[in-house]
Amino acid sequence: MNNEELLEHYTARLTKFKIVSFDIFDTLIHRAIHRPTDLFETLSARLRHNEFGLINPEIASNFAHKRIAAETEARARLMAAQGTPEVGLKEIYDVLVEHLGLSPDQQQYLIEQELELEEQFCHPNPVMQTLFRLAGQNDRHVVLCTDMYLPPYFIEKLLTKCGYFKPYTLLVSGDQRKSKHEGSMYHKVLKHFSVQPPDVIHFGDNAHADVKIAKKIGIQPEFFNYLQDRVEPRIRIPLQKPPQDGHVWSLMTGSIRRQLMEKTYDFWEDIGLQVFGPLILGKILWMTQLARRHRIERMLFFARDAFLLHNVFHRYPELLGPQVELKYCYFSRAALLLPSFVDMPIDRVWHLFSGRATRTVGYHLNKLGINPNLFMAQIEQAGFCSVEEVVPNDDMRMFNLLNSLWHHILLEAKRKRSQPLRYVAGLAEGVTRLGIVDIGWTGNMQGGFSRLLQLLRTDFQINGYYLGTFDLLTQNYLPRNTFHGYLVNENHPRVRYDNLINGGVELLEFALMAPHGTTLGYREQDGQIVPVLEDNKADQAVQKLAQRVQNGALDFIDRVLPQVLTIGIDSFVSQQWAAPFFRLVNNPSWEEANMLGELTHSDTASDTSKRLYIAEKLPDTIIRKRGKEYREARQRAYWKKAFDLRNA
Amino acid sequence: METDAPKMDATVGIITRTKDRPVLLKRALESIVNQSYEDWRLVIVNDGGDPAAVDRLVDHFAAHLRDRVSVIHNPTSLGMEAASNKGIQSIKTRYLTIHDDDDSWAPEFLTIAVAEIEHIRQKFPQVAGVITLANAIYERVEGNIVHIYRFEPYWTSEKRGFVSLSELLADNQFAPIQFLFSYSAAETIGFFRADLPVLGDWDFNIRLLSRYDIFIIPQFLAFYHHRITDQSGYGNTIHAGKSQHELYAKMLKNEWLRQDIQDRRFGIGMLIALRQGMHPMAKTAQLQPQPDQYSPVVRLQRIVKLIWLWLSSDQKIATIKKFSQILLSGGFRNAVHHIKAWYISRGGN
Repeated sequence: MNNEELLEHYTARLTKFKIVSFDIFDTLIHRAIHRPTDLFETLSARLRHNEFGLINPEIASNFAHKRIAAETEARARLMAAQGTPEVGLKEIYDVLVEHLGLSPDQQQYLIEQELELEEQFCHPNPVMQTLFRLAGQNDRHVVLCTDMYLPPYFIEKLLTKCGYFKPYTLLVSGDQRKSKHEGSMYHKVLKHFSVQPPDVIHFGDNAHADVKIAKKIGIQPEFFNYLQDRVEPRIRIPLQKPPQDGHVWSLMTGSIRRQLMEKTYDFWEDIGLQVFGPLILGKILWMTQLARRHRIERMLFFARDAFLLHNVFHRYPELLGPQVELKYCYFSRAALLLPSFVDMPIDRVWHLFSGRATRTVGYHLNKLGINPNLFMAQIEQAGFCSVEEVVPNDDMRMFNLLNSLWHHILLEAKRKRSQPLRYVAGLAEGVTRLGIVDIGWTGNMQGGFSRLLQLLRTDFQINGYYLGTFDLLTQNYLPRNTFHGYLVNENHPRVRYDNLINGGVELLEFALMAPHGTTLGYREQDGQIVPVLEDNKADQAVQKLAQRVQNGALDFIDRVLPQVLTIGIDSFVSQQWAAPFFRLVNNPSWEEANMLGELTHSDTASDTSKRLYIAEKLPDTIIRKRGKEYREARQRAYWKKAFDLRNA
Repeated sequence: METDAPKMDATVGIITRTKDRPVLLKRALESIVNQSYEDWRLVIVNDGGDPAAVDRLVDHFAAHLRDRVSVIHNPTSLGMEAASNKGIQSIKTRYLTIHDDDDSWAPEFLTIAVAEIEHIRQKFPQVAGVITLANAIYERVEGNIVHIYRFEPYWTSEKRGFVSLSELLADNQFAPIQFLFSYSAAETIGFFRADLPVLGDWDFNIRLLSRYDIFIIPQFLAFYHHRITDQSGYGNTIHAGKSQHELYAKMLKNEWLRQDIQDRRFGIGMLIALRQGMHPMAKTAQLQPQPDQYSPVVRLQRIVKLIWLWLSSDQKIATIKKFSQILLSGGFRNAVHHIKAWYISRGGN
């Protein structure tokens, strides 16, 4: 049954009853966290980074445990005194006062913090929102019963925020000293309305309190296990809390659940929502923290991979502050790498011909502006038979050949430098502290940008903020440049690096693709330098899919980021946001392997016409044989785990 | 340290020494005229070679050189350092650089070197020179054709920050082609020693570094060309004149030590002597059996680990292909070097 059908079913059920009773938490209202107690960990994280925690570190430290322990003790005390464990919030905090020696102001502050988070995280159930309205029609009374310590006035506030308006009767266990768990709450309802049990229908998610006990009393229960039945089967992230930064994982899970409740997603949007959205948000929070520290004056977002990030920072100017200028700028290996050959570290030439799509010697030389016919001796000396010979990936002969032609490469670079240089100069004009946002890996774009800028100025400092950097970054070490990686830094940690080079890079480059072609070069227009973009049909098909992924990612970010901004960014800077992504790379489902493996990727500069499958599906005959063709296809595949799954 | 002269010929003075090497001189002149930075003055000192050949080449590049070049023909050779001094003393510039006829620069060498020396001196006024990193290019000359057969980063290209004086005392850390230095600083130390037919640049560097600092620009902007097997005029002095290097190295060290003894001070001579005395002790210590480092057991463990790393790699065939190619094209040593790098990059010890 879909939501509409479920609602119809429940509406039809209402007709026989005079009283409609609802559980509140996880029935009418959900929290955008995994478990209710996760809220205390979020509070704990907030205290670790805010002013209160700075002044009172002994209170802030391990606060979640202290809060839970206080509640346990408060319940025990009340049980001993009054025969019921149903405490209120104030009683819990009275125990905390004793445990931690809190002053009245401190107690009040902590209570307010907890309530603020409750309000931040609560959201309505879409089916119940409608059912609630219908429940109060036809002279039926609505009663809300909850086994909860929060004060009734506050719960009313949450209900109003979630669109549940009076008239209803609210019964809270901490206030009434009665509970559904014991059954006493239901007797209260019957007494309050002077009805018999068969007159009451009760909706709730707790198998014991909302179903078993209600049934025992004679009330008609409706087990509304919406999360477990309808939401959690669609969740792509492991539902096991990690030992570190559990509050991040909890918010991520809770927010994804919320989005899945409210909207239907196709595969691409869903991957964006559940995998790339959290990852991008994680990077955004991490780099915001760093950029503030570095006092960045202008942030440059490099096409195409920083398109989505530019979008988010543009929508949330409070992240870096209105004084930080945000610019989207057009760079690519094709447009920038050769002109930026100001110097000649020998390993940099690998980037002039790298990529799994193979081309001939002549093709590579012509692309560099070198006439192969003038250098036949060097071509032969390098070990090639002719200019038509195809150059395999990582070919040492090509490496040697290009290094032997260093002089011509440097001259050609100089000839092609004028427009890129003007473009770079314009982007850096008037500021000294620049930030660069890009996907990462070897820092070629930042290195190229900096090498060009240094020809004009020495008064600048550039910080690059990347998803990751690999050890080849050392080729781009320059004065006035620093490189920061969110997931890996120069290949460390090793495990994540291995994930990235086995499909992670290609998946990221797909997901972050901008809705325009790659930059082929620059031209002058009305005295300005503007980019020349590629118009490639094969590339456009992939761009459209990437857009859907980004729509899903933006849904996640737009849901979670405002909450994080309110609570405090520092509490949420964590690599846990990347966990769903690494799960995808390492352990894809069959559907994920099929859908994403079918995508094509181009890793050759300015040559997006040569696209290869991320994880090709082979014909059955080749799979069965497991021969040379199979091995070569596996070798070509970027994402080995998906390849193995597709061709099992 | 520096005072602006009332009239400078240019910001950078380039001294090119040459003698009967027109093929290389042509390349050097190309390297200079290709510089993006234009405020330089070139002095070519033809130290005893054929003047006509030099004049023809200068004419060939006249449009690019414009009025920025002067040529000094020495009818007989004065020696490398005397030739440098003669060229230097014929101009007045803020900075100097020795661009020998057999070396070359990237087109942005001067742009970056001048910008960086002026930038670094704002924070470190004691800096009197900058060097860039260099690639060593191994080549042979056949007539008018230069065949390049090997290139690699010059041995000191791992160095960063300031040039170390104590390391410089042991060995020259950089080639002239990498170096841009202050004219007035060079003047203060008396320019180059004309009596040294070799190692004059090493002596100059030591004397300069004894008073000032030299900053390392971490970019490969210079090319130090070697012609190892060539004993002719095309050969490098460090290869072709190896025995002369050893002779004059000892002579200089004796000179410095003698001066320190005379002056009763702990100076450069003493430092070098001390280093040389420590060196055999360090070597002996290294030769002591290192129980864990190179024992057969450890070697075997490493081989086993290498094989295991290869077996657990996702690119077994590609790895074999790659190293085979390197073996065929680059030789055994090259292949071993790459295998070691692969091993270490994957967590091998």
